[in-house]
Amino acid sequence: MKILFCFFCTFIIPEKCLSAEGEINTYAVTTFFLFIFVTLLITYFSSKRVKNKDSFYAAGGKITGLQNGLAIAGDYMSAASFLGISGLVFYSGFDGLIYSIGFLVGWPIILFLLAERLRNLGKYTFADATSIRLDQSYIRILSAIGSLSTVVLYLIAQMVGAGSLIQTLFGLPYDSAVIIVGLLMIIYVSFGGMIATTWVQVIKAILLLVGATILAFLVLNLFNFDLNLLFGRATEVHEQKINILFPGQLISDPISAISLGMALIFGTAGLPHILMRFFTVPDAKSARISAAYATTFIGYFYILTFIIGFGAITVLTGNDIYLNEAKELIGSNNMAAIHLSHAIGGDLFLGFISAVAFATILAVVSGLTLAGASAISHDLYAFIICKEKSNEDKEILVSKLSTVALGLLAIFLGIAFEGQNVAFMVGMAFAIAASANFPILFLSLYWKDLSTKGAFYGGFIGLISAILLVIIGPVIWVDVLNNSKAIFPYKYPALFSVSLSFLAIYIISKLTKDKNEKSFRKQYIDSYLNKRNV
Amino acid sequence: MNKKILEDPEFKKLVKLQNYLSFFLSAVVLIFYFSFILILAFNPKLFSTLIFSSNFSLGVIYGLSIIIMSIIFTIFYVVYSNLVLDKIRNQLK
Repeated sequence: MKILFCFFCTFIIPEKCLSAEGEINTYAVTTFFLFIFVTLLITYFSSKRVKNKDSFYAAGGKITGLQNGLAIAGDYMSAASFLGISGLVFYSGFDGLIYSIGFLVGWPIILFLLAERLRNLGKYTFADATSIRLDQSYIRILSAIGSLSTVVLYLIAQMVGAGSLIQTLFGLPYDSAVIIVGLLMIIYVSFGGMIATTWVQVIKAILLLVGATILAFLVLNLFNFDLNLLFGRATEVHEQKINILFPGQLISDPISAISLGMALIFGTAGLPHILMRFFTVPDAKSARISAAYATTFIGYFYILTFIIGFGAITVLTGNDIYLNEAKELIGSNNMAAIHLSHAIGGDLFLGFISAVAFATILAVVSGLTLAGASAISHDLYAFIICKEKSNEDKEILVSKLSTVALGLLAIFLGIAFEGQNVAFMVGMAFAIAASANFPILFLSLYWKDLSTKGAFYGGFIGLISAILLVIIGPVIWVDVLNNSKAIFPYKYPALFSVSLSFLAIYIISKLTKDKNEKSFRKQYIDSYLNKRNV
Repeated sequence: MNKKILEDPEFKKLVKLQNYLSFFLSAVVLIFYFSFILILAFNPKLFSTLIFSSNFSLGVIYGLSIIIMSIIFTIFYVVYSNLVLDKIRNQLK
């Protein structure tokens, strides 16, 4: 570990990254190094405690409700939700709020329907819960493929975003930025497992919440803490005037609107790296508390981004330091929050917020990688390949190797997709999570007639239709492949793929009954009594 | 043992309260959210009204209330589960 740490310091410091553009913010670099130093230190201590499967996958189940709530928030709030949504508010006002709400409403649903039952029935991955009364050899394959495709797509989008963001913030070349993020995440996850990943996410969540709170506070301070005054001033200076308070172009037709809503709600409830976090707490009660904390932190954060976006409108519009010749924000609208932090907090605060953005990326990619590695080692290797006869040390070794492999794949694809439009990958990841992972999980927790074949074929129908509809839809068929007209006219497939998945699971399950009344009865009783089923 | 607990009136009460709590709260959140989405899709003009001649549009108010409502509901769920449902569970165990 120590050798690796030294290697890292020498790797990041070279002339190249400190001299680019000649205007590196020393506060940013200091905070950034401090974060890396602290997280590597945590990884070092975690690595001594990661001795068995339980500590590697689930931090030994010793995380408290509050810690897990913070970690979930840290796992879920990506740089896209901080910089992207405040940038969208800066650009079109109200429309930014539509996205934030979509990203939030999945959370109460996770708490009301999934969190406690998931904690009772599962151990390390959500496939533990889905395969409890069905034939494992089928269901684990489906759940692992669902997890891996969600993780890899989401990971590539994060890496490409990270590369260009770090390039803009720290003046590092794109490739080195992607490599640094990839290597750090490999170190955190492979040495420190879930313990280190959790702490990286907790620290990131605290930094992000504190940073956004200060930024929103400074904005409100300019307007005597009167939101009405802030909105009023924004409508005066923004080129769309009063229309920034009203719905704009984001939602055009009802089908797309409902489809986007379904993808966000059910997709959130089917993200493997999020579901996995519920196995890190000791009991159902803590799972419940952590989901409520997570909802509160995430909701509070989205209210802040709305204020920050409007603050950016009032402060940055017409401020030539932050605009290029075309009167657009330097480095795209996504830089609204970053420029705002400089405009009202100076170099020191800019440095802090930039480092927070960097920490944000690391926490999200680490969670994703751990979830992907667990799907490979726990679901595929231990249960499918070894048929439950593998030993614990080998399974952990496979998990660590998978972490390294996923990390290298992420670095490679992150570099390969430089400058490409990768927005569709996040959309596709949510669509797959909503159409394959969520229906299986939800029905296995609640529906007694769910059969192995129903879940397996229905889940695959959901998975394939989600991927296919995105490919023949406008986002890939027109925007990426440059065809003139999309075969499937809607940007978001969830309305169709989720319905299709539920329908297929229902019909096939009705036709092919499993004989598992007894195990469903046990599951039924245990899940109401909050008894652990494993 | 399993059959016996299924007949237990306390267990039946737990099932009823837990289902009512989970599905009622989920339904309310989903109805509020999808009406927001449907208004945006079918009648966005409705959200383009300023209320009390302030700078708060109906859309902003509705949107922010969904966020605040989500937070309040989750806290309510946790408090109710901790105080009422967990008590029944402890008696049954």
